[in-house]
Amino acid sequence: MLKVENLCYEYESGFKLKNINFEVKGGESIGIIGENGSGKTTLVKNLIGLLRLKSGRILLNGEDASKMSVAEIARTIGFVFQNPDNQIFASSVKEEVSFGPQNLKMDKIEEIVNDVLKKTDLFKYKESHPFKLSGGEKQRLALASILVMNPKILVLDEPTSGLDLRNARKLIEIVKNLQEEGRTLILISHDMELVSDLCERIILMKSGEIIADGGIKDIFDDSNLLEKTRLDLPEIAKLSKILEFGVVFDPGELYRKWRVSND
Amino acid sequence: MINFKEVSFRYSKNQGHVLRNISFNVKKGEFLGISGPSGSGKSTLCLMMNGIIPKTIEGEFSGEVYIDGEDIAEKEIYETSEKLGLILQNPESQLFSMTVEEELAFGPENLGIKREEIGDRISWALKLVGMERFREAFPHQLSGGEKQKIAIASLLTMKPEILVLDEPTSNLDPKSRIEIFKIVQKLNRKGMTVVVVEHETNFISSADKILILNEGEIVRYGTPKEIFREADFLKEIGIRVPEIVEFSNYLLKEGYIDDIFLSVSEALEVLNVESRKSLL
Amino acid sequence: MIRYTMFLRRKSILHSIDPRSKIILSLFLFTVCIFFNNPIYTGTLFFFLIISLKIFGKIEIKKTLSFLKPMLPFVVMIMLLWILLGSEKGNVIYQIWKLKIKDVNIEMAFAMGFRVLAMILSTFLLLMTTEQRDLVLALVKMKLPYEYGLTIAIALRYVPTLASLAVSIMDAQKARGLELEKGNILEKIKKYIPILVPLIVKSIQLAQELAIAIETRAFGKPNRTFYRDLKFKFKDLVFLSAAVIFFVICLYLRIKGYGVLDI
Repeated sequence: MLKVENLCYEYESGFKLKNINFEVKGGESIGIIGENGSGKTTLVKNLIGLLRLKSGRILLNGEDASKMSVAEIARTIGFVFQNPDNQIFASSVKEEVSFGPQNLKMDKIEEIVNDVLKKTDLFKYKESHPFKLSGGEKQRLALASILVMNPKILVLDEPTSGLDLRNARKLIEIVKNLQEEGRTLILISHDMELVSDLCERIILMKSGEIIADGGIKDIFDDSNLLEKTRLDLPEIAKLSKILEFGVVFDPGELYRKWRVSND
Repeated sequence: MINFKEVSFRYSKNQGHVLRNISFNVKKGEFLGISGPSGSGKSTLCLMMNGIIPKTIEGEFSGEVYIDGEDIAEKEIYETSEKLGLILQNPESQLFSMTVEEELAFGPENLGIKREEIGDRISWALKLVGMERFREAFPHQLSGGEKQKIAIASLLTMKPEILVLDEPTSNLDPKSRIEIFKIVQKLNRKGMTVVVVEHETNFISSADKILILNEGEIVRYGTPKEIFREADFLKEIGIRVPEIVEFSNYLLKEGYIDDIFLSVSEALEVLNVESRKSLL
Repeated sequence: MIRYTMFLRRKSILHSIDPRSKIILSLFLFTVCIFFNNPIYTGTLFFFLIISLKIFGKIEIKKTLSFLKPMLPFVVMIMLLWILLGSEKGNVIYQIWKLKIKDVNIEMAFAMGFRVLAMILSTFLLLMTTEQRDLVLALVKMKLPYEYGLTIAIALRYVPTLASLAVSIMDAQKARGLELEKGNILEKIKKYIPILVPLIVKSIQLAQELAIAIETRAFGKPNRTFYRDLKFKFKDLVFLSAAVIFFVICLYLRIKGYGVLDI
């Protein structure tokens, strides 16, 4: 589906992405994690063509993406930016979501817009002014406005940051439904619990390089690796590690394990 | 230090109340955490503490707010600001000077502090937040976390007795979050009265008292343990509870422990004792 | 990297003198440029400024030229206009069809080219050697009300913030298939609406928060003090005297009719 070979990129400020290699198969869910400034966003901007790699190759369904425009890539890889306020401009939710399909000159726009609004639980706001939506609803609107272009790969950047429990849960539920549809997910997040909830594979980045790529259990159990990337696990995961249950994020699961070993 | 008496507020007559019948006290040197789901009135409450509401942002206000024993309705905002510093969510809008040094000087300059004293306060505040190296930096060169530290320092130079922080870390990465909260805890240990508003309860679990807002009303008030023992209630109204607290609630319910724990170190202490018990 | 300030940090006499002296100096130099229209005089003035910046401001000639480079098309245009549409007098030295190129007009073109360059440099001299904050402070000390000074300072401060916000918004909209390069002028203008709306909305939001932030810092309390001070030192006196003498000499030359071409 997506293959990155020896990707290199350099900013004028000197920050570099060095020799990035990975492959994403259809239907996979991958978390990209690493400290601030480790190159996660730079990597994704290269993938969607906002930044153009200095050397290496990006293959989208076998085709060289470096020759495609950002709009063409958007048909396959949809990137939902972190801050919905940076993109909301239209006078109704319906119009906002139609923007992408209009740019891509898609067919049956009305139909696909309605469909996406239903999926993101925004249909009741179809005619509302997007600026009047709550933070959680705006976040879903941003997702809808990318999803409507029907990308096979969906990239989310900190989708739940700033959301309260209710809104975060709603968003996660929508994302899970999309995964079940077979969509490929790439998630950039600092929230380890969210990553472990949604992804089965992790790409770990540090100073512009991929330092680990593997199954989520393998990576979270590797203390050396976590130390090296200075990743901080939530308290519950620290506790479950000390109690020798491995890395567990879910309190219910930890409780079950604890009971089994104590009874 | 902070005293709210039956405070209610709405933006206009035809709108519902943002806050209703709010009364609470914060003692000198206390650390109060405030939490609640989106739209529960947390930010409105913060803006009332120095009188921005209803003086600058107008609406229908009733009740009284006392800061250090004085009714702030009778004071100018600049007078209350000398006692109470307010940090907002977005650091970008709080740094409006061309350099860090000027940012830190702005408050004390307005207060009419002498030049030498301002210089000393700037060095002192930068040291407190660990940003000495950035005295000459431009704000657009700083990261989000660094900006928020400078925003805190720029209030510290006014030497307030109370610091109120409204979701100070909600746009920051976990590392910066922890750094900011360490600074806040340090200030509290030095005797400053602190109020932190957070929808993530992780960071207020070390507070002396926690106040929970829902739909404009105070629904719970107590010590962190009293509050977190009701994890189900918190989740029901849309507040995220630290997972480790949830785990301890399971253990409490089944009688494995006598009281919940809030941190790893506390957990180890409690669980070791318990496992020894089961050995006997 | 985009530069937002022209200030270059150096340890020089020009950097160390009071910005108020530099404002006066800059005004003097600017006026002197208008006195003469002889290319030898304006040319001398131009080279004099470049060399003074090197000697008194420790700013490398290469750096000065690189700052002037973006101004070059403007200067060339002025020169061409003088050559083609100048005086009727003088001898024709070259003729293409009806366009007569005359010797006096070539001379005038160089005079005006150097004049404009010297004028630009006399302003740059101030901007390259003075920090923005000192400039604002100087204006306040020169009896500009503090509120106005603060407003100027805030406007300058937020230029980089709004510039990077505009880039983020553009990126977000490009990821939704917006192609700014395509289409005729009218279509292109329309394409900027999705960028301008979020930019304006966020700027208003920023301004509202800013107003609150300024109030929380006790703005408006009577009897404000100033942490930074400007001191008029002995070297300012020397510098200003030199500037006055220079100005008077030039004025004298101009009254006597030196450095003025008769056309």
